[in-house]
Amino acid sequence: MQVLPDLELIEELRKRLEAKDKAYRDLAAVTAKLEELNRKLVESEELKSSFLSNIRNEINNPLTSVLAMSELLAGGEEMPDEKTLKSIAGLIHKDAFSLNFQLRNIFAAAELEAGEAVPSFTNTDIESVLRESVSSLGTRASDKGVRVGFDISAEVKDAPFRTDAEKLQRIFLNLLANAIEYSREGGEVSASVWREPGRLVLTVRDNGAGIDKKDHRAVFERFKQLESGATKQHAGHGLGLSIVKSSVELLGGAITLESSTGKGAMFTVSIPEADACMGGDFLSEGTEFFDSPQSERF
Amino acid sequence: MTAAESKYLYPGMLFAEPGDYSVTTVLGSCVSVCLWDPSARAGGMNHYLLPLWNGDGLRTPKYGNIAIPLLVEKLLQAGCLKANLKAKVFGGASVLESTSGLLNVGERNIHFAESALEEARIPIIGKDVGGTTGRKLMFVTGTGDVYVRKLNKK
Repeated sequence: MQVLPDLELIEELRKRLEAKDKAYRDLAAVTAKLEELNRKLVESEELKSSFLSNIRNEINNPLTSVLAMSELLAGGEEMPDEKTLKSIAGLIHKDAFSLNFQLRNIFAAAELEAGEAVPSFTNTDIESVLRESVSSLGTRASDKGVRVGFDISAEVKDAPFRTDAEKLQRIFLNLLANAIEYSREGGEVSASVWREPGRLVLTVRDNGAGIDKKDHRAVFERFKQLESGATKQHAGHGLGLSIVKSSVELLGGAITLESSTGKGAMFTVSIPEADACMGGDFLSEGTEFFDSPQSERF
Repeated sequence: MTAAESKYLYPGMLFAEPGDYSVTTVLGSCVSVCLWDPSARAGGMNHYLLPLWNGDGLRTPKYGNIAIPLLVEKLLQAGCLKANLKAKVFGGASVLESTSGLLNVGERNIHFAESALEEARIPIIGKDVGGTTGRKLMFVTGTGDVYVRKLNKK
C-alpha cells in the first residue's frame, strides 16, 4: 500500500516546528534578560551592604575618638598643659570635621535622590568659596604630607559668578578630599579655576595611582569603590563622586575625568552661569503668563 | 485662576506636597508627569530628562524610571490613593532638528511615561506631547488643571 504524502500535513508540521523553534529562541532571550537582571540585583545588594559597612567605619572611628578625647579632658584629674590641650583640641576638631563632612554628604545625597535639592542661585564670590574649601581640608592634607596648590584666574577674582554657592562648595570639597585621599604621601594636588564665555571651569588634579580607562564610568557610580574588603586602603563611603556628578548636573554642568594607571587623575568641571531670570525672579511672571489665548488647559 | 502658592520645578526635581500649589516648569525634550487624586484634591509633578538611569551618579528623579515611581510613592505618603490617581503627560519635544530613532530623547521620554503609567495602571486623561517646540506649564494641584503654553522658537 502506498501512502501519498499529505502536502498540507507536511506544511503544517513545518510551521509548527518553526513556531516551536521561535518559542525556544524567545524563551532563551527572556531567560538571558532575567539572568542579567538578577545579576544586577545581586550586585546592587552587594554595593549596599559594603556601603553600610564602610559608613559604619567612617562614622564610628572619628566618633569613638571624639568621645574618648573629650572624656579624657572632662574626667582627667589633672589639667593637661596648654600644649597638650591644644593638640587634643586639634584632634577632636579633625575628627568632628570628618564626621560633619561625611554626614553632610549623606544628607546631600538623600536630598538629591528625593528630588528636593533645589538650586538657589546668587552672585557668588568664587574665590572665597574655593579658598574656604582648601583651608578646611588643610589638616587632612598636611597629615598626609600632601601639598595643595591653587590657581585662580584674574577674571574669576574680579567679578562674581551666578551659581549655587553651597552646591559648588560641595562639588569642590569632594573633589579635593578625593584627590588628597588618593594622593601618595608627599604628593601634590593642584586646583585651578578660570572663566570661559558664560561658564566657570574648574580642574582638580592629583598625582596618585590613577584610574584605569575601563573604570572611568564606575567611579561616578554611587557606593562603588574600586577597592573593597580587606585590601581597601582608602577611606570613604563611595558617595563622594556620585554626589559631585549629580550636583554638577543639577547646576546644568558637566564633569569629565582624564586619567590612566600610574599617571594621576584630573577631574574637570564646567558649569554654566545661571541666568538672572532663573530662581526667584522666574516666579514673578506668575499666573498671568498662562492667562492668554495662546495657553491651553488640560 | 486661584491664588495658590507658586513653586518653580527645576529639571530633575519633583514636587508632591498636599495643599494648593501652582507648580510651573519649562520643558523641551524633558517630560513632566502630573498626577492628581480628585478625592484628595492633591497632586504632584516631576520633570525628568532621560528615560532610564544607567547607574551613573546618584539615583535621582532626573530619570523617568526613578521619577515616576517616586512621584507615586510621595503622593501616597501625602494621603492620595493609588486607585484614584489620574495622569497628564507633557513635553518630549524634539527641540534639536534631525534627531530620530534611538537618539530622539523626547520620543523615548514620552514612550517611557506611557508604558510606566500603563504598568502602574494609572490612566492618562490628558496629554500634550511631541512636536518641535518647548512648553511652559503650570499645574494647579488643588484643581488638577494644567495650563500649557507653547514657546516660540527664536
